Amino acid sequence: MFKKISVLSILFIIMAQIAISQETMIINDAWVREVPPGSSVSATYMTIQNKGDDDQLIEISSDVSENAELHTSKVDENGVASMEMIKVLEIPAGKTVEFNPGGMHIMLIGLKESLVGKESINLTLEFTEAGEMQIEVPVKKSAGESHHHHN
Amino acid sequence: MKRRSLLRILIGMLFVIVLLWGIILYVYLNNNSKADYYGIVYEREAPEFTLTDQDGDQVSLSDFKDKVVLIFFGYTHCPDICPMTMSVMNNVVDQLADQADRVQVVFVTVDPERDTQQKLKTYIPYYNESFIGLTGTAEEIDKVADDYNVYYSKEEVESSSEYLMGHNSSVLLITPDGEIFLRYPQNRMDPALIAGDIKRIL
Repeated sequence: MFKKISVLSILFIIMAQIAISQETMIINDAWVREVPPGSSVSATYMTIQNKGDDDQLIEISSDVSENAELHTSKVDENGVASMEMIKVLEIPAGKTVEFNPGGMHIMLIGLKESLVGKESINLTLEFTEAGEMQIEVPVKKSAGESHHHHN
Repeated sequence: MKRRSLLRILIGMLFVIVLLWGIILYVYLNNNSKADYYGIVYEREAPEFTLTDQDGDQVSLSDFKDKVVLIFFGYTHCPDICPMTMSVMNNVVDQLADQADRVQVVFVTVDPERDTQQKLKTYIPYYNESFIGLTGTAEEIDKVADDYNVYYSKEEVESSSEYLMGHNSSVLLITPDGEIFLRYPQNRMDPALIAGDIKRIL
């Protein structure tokens, strides 16, 4: 009897944790850009929906690169594009942040292997509140470049 | 006598009105047809250049006299905007179907230090076999970038020895008669609409 309860309660705790981690941060439309062989950098895009409390994205890593950093591409009035690093991304409760080509993206730095022909990579995101999240990110040649434009 | 001069004045006025109307109509139609292009009208003579392509051959702008040239400046260590632009260019060429051989996509590196001929050889054909990637000495690249009003600068990346380049990210369309006619900034990257402009020009 006691054994049964303890097993059940452990199960309940595990399930609750899964439920919590699934509920607080919802990641959609994640993809990483396939880049030519020999490339040392690439970019990852996704949307992150925060269904929990105010949170921060503080750390990113991937299994295919030495580093991963959050960057945003900026184009000034003269058409000069440059990159700015975002050390900590604030994600307020209830907000959705979008990482898109030409905008915010996770830059993979120092690719350890070619992404050509690879199906997916593993990405780890660390949030102050929601904790660590591991996601599988499919590799795509391009997404949307033919179907939607960026403003 | 009085009537006659009145008539003359009337005819004169009518003539002026018709002339003005004609001028307005001409200016309007002219502007309107240019405004119809998806790209931003630029209209400037395209400066000649000679650089080295991914196969080690010397390539000049004048080599593409009967073609529309889509030229842009970038670098291969660029994670976001350059691959996106390359992928858009590939799509543009796809949409041109049987007219594709009358278009030449040219990528000029602003990072000749890392973008050697060998590096371009693995990078450029990945997007499209017909694309040309150009490199040169730092001085040669400086000169071409300057001629094309392209600014670029090195930006360090904190976490690694990698560096990024800030650079003009517009694609320039050069007509077969050597004019930079249209400019496509990053917010005008719809392949179908770019292909539409090219079809109109060809």
